[in-house]
Amino acid sequence: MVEVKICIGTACYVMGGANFLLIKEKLSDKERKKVKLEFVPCLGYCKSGKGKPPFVLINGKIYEKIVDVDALIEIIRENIEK
Amino acid sequence: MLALNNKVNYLKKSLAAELLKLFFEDELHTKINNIPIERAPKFSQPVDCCIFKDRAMVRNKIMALLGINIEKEEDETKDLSFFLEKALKREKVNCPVLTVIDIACHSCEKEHYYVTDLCQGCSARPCESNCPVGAIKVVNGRSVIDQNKCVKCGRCKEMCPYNAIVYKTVPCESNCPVGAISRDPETRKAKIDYDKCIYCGKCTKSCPFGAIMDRSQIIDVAKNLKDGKNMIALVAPSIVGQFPGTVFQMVSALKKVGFSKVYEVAYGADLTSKSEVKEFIEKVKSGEQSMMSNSCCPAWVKTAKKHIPEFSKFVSDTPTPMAFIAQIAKEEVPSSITVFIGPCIAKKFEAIHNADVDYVLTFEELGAFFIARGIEISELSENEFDSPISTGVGRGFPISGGVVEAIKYYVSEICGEEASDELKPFKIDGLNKKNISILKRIAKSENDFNFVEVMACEDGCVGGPGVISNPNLCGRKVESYSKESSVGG
Repeated sequence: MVEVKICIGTACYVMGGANFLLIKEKLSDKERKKVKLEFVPCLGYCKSGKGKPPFVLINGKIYEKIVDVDALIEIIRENIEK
Repeated sequence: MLALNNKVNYLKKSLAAELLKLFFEDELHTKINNIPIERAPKFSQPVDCCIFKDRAMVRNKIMALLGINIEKEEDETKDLSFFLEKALKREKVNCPVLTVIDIACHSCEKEHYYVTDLCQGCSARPCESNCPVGAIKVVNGRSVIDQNKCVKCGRCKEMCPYNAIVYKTVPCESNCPVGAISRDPETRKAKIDYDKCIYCGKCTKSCPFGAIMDRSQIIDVAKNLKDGKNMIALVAPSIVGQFPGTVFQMVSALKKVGFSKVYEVAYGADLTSKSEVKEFIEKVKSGEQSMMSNSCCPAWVKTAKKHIPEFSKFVSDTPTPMAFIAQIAKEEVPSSITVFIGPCIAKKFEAIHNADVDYVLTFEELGAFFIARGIEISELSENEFDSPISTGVGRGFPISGGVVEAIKYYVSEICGEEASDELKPFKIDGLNKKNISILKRIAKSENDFNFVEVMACEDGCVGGPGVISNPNLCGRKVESYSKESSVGG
């Protein structure tokens, strides 16, 4: 199971994360079964200066500056295959 | 046009947020000159050809964010702090609303068909034999197109079995619906002809180098907020779905930014619809004219005036939703400063010509304010709008077809349900070259409809050049917010 926590804090949302809400429609049925998707309030990474928004936490690892939803799907797929 | 999220857009939003953050922390004066270097430090991986070009790009984008008309600035020795001073001194914003960043412009070659190295120099040579004007010859085993002879019919591209021929476009020119962009004959840099421009902003969203930007008013708004002026936010209905949290949490967020009141432009849309219906009864139902079109989209009104003059007489004279709500705000608080917040660049033009609207921000720019002030919208309590409650149809205005729905509702409201059959609508979803020629045809022919809704942006305002969120996603949220209205429609 791939655990995906998508930050929907203001900064992440404005910098491109708004489109992450499309993710459920973009994953296939098969993929959706392997992914535990969660939209979470601000993870605090932007304020700590550790990278650039939008941030997504996947299986405990933080990914930064994911410019659009397709890039996020690619990362999730890589994690499914692992 | 480019995808909604890309690196050009990202840079613009992040620079806006940084400028505002430094401004509110009283550090912008001392730090603004360093930003280009900090964004492209030595030994970093350049985005463009080198870090020096990257720094120049950042510098010019900051200038546009300060609202500077870059084409008019000849003196390259001036620091960014000079332009910041200039921006802070201005009392009013002016035209043009767009600016071309010459240093960013790629000087794209004229649109043309081009043979790539996928060409195998085959024996059949379908490109050569199907070219109607004999523009193709094989040189050194590869097809070459004589651009002076080529008539751009595209037969060669269709015929090539290797897909070796491509059509190379000029993104700003091909996305401009009215041919307002040309090239300077000497420098080949893009030039906007403001006699033709309709301020739709499609060029700003199509240039892959970000060479055309709207002149931002973030500094003007920030300065007045910091000075504690009485500011009223007028928020366009497409704001629903642009930010995390609910619409009513967003009202609280705007108050946290420093706005004393937040008015809903959807209520203005109700007033616009009512007035348009009265006009419809007077002009169309009476038989005085054959049809009518909406006036709420300033890019459409400009298109009719500049490019389809024969259609102009059919465009409604009713003030826009922004004009109605701004008038209310100024009447209630005459000393207030009004800021329209929406998805639209053409509204910047409209506002310059309307004394009731002082400034205009896009949703992207508002987002930069939220980031700069560290406001977590979804953690705030909910707050009501300070304007009267809008109807469902007023809230539905920003989606393609929304104006028609509102007009239909108010026709039956004013003239009784059976009258709604007399409204025969036709919709144009987005202004492009094809739809403009349809509108030209409509203006001169007899039609079986009598109300034409035109939205300059595809999908309606939710697809505007200043949005943050995906238009379909936002449209769905607009629809559900519209159903929640307690006052009908």
